[in-house]
Amino acid sequence: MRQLFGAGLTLWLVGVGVAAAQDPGVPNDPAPAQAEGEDGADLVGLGLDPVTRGVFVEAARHEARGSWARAASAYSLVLGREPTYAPAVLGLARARERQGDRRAAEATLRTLPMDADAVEALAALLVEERPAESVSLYRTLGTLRLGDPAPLLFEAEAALRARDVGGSVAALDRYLTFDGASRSPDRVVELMVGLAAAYKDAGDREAAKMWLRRAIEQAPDGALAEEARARLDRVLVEEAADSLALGGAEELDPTLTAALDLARRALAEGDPQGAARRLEELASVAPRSPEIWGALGEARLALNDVAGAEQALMTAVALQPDEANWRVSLGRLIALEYAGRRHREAIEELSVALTLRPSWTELRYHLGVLHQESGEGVEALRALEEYLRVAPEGVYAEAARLAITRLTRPRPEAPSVERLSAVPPDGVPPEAWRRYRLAQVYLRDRQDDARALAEIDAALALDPDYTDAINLLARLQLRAGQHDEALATYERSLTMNPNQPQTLLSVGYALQAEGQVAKAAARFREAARVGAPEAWYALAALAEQDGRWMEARELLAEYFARAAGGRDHEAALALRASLERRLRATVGLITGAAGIVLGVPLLILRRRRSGLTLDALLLQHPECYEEVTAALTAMRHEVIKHNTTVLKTVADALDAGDPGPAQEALGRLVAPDGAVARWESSLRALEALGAGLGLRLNLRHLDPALAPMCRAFDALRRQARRARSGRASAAELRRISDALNGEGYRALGRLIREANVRTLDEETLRAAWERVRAEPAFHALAQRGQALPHLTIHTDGMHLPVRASAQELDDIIVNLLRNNLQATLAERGDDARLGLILEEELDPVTGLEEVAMRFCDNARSVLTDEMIQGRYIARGFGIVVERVRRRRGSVRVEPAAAPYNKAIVVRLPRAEREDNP
Amino acid sequence: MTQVLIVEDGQEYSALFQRYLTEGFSFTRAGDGPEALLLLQTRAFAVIFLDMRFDRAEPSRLLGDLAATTARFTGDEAQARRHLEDHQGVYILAALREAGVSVPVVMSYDFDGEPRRFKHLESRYAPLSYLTDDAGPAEIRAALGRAGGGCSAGGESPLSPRRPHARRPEVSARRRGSEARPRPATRRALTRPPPRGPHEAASSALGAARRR
Repeated sequence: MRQLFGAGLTLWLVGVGVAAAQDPGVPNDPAPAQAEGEDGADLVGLGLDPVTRGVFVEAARHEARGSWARAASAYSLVLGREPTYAPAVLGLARARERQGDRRAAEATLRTLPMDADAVEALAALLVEERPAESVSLYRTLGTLRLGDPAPLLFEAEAALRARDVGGSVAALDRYLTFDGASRSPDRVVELMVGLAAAYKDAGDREAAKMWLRRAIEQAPDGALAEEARARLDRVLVEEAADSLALGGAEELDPTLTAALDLARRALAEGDPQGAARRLEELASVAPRSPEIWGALGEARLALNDVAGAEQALMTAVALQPDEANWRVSLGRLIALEYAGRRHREAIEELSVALTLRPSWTELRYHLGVLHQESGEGVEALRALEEYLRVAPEGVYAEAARLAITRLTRPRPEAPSVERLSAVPPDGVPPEAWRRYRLAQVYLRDRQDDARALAEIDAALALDPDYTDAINLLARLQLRAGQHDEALATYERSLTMNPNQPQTLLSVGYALQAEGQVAKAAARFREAARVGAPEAWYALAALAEQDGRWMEARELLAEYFARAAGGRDHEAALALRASLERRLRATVGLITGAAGIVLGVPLLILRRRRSGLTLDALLLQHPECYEEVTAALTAMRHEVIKHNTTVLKTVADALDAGDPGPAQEALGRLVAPDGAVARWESSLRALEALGAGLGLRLNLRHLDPALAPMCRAFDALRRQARRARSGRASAAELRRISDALNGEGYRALGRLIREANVRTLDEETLRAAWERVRAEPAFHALAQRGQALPHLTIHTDGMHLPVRASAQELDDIIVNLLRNNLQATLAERGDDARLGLILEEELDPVTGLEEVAMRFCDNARSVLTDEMIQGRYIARGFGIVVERVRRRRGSVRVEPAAAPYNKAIVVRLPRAEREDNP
Repeated sequence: MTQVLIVEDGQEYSALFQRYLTEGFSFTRAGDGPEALLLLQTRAFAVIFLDMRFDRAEPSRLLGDLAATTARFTGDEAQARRHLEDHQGVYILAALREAGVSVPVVMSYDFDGEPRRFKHLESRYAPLSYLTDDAGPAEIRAALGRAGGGCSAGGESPLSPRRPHARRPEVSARRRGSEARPRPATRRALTRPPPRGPHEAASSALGAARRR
């Protein structure tokens, strides 16, 4: 074996030697020379033989370059000769760890159990995965490095990770009594904050407060002091909230429940101010209701009152500490609103919530993300893998897999660019090339312009035509503020090689900085010609500054045709947006001016002929149904009923020669609070509704139901004016009456009854089921061989019209089918049974008919009406309940006949459209 | 003189009728179902003019079981209350018939658009007719005259026997084309518990109102 090693080493050295002989630059390479110079004394001191020493130097060099595999191989060779040589053991362990092989790294380090550096490295390696073992190693380290307090601090940190709070405190106390223990104040503070969190988790709030106060005292101006103060404040608020919760959460009576519901509706309808006001009042009436505080938290957050929202949610948590919802709301608020500064607390809240409700699978994913964002790779990986285990097809499954891939991706070895460029450019003497590279290092890494200039002068003395060196000289001159010299140097470089896009760009920018715009533009054009996309942007920017916006737009188009990213991309995007805005405004101004002169009548005509009808609004936005029908019902009941219905009677009186009733009735109708004003008010409400959705409704001229009524109201106003002088026309009043009370009234009724009526039948239900089956999660399951259950649909051939839009029906059916399928597959696997039964039902008292859809399954998990009423978040019932409620329907859980266990029953009002075509 | 009881939550019909139907009619107003029932116990009316929506009535005066309706609407009490308001006319009608009042009722509602529903209600609560909201004074006069024609001198005494009217057998839930098929045990009428007789729902509604 030893012989084999010797032969291998010899061959390897021969290889290195050959490579070195072929590469004249290598012996003079400053990096290896430096490594050799620095390490040489150590190597000699440890008595390595010259050959092994050479290999060790190579290993160090590979490691410095990030060539882990080569470094590991070379370190192994060294250890073959000197198995206890600690620097090589450490180097090999480092290389293996960077290769992703932690086990091999561990085994390597264990070969030196009594070497302080190896023990320290091993303890650090194990601290995340096996913190208890790491504690033991740090204790060993303490004995190996007597007099050094650092191992005590490391031990305290590791013990905390191992959840040995007592051990951690003991080690930290010993560390703090040590001389020189104040060398790592930040680490000490971080550890103290961690101890406080641990004590808080354990319910010992007093100890938590003590450690947080010690942390603040330790480094009142340190980076972590702010976090410690925030945590201390949090503990104090929680204490206050606890004292509020002494009597426990209180349940709300029906009146308060209704008031809470009203406030929630206000919030859902975009009135957080109103909602918050109502909730504040409710909180003063029922201060121990977690529901009220939870809703208040949401309302305050909507008002951007983050602190207030957090306090409200903390109160909800304190009042009902065993309810996961409040903790999740609080955790998410902390995670989202503090830019990652309080992720630790967010993680704590979500972790407790998960303990309280283990079935809340999504929490595992959110926890994973928070850990990941906190740099806690191991914890992130654990949470994400756990999430995928319980929800392999969950909504975040894809994201979780991606995150895991990123978390476990090994670091690639550095590409061997140095070998590719290990020969000087054509015609450049090696020494000139070396000097050029030294100049680069001085400039780039050391910002030592003087030494860089000296090196570049030396390079140019060896090769005056070396363009890279000339360009670097120009850059140095620019840095020194010697613009004229820099420009002359650049020109010299371009004379020798005119096809240098970046140099041309640099010259252009230098000229532009000097105010020589025309010359700069010329250089940019040359740069564009030789393939620098940034030059197009530079030209566009010049054109824009010069007011040539159209030209700038075209130049930007050239830029975007060639560039998808790069240093100027963001600026180019911003410039394009700015140009488009200004061009639109300009075109708008010109068009507007022309329009005023030529097109106003056409515009009016066009406006009258464009816009949307109510039908179109409801088709695009079925969620407006309730507001639209409320306005239409108001038109019917508050405008026509009791009001315009008298028109025929007053017309009869006119015919009989009595103008009095006409004057009185028409006067009432056009009075400020009369029917005409109410009509206008309802009409404006509808128009505002459309405008709020970004749509222009044309109800007055285009809508088939409302436009004729608007014309009739205009005529009514005219008749009211004529009636004052006794000139009202009975015939015209009858015509208006027919338009409003006859056709108009019926048209409004049709709109109310038939807006968004859709027919439910087997075909509709089957199509929805197919869409669910085709969803990526289920499709992927099917691809992997998991048989999806068959959905049994019973409709008895019925085609039932219901008052709901196609989108609303789709939302309801698809969501419930998806939920049933997910739950049943998860619980019953191949024995999953799903059914969907369509029925008609009649309320015998009111004569109202409903269409019932019974979504049956044989999942065993319990689902109750209360869970649905609470819009059971884990099952995503929120959207279903919202859609059904909007249409004045209901959702309930009911028993189901075998082979099913239960049915979620959705009832929606049945329309009579089939009888009223 | 035809005695007409107007049941409405506002004053609009009362004002309109007083203004335009002055000859041959005498009007009395009740603001809600309980008040109408009280009036009908002490006075005779030839016809009842009944509005449908009662969104201005005191919530505690609405007929119908709010708790059961709330349960039906997945715990949404606001929606349940709105349902009772929107259909209060029918709940009052059911309560009248349950109380033995067989006076003809003219409902103010657009049943033109809901003929199936009207057919059901007519079979259950006859004598019943309706006027749409666009009816003018002339149509209202004609409808009231038709409905109360048999007792124009005054009206039906509270003690007079009820006029029989045909009723359809109760159907709480049905499927077209499969009436013979046994229904699942869980299928029920929308009111819980299902009424056993034609007036039971109304009486339970009254009971609920009284309890309140």
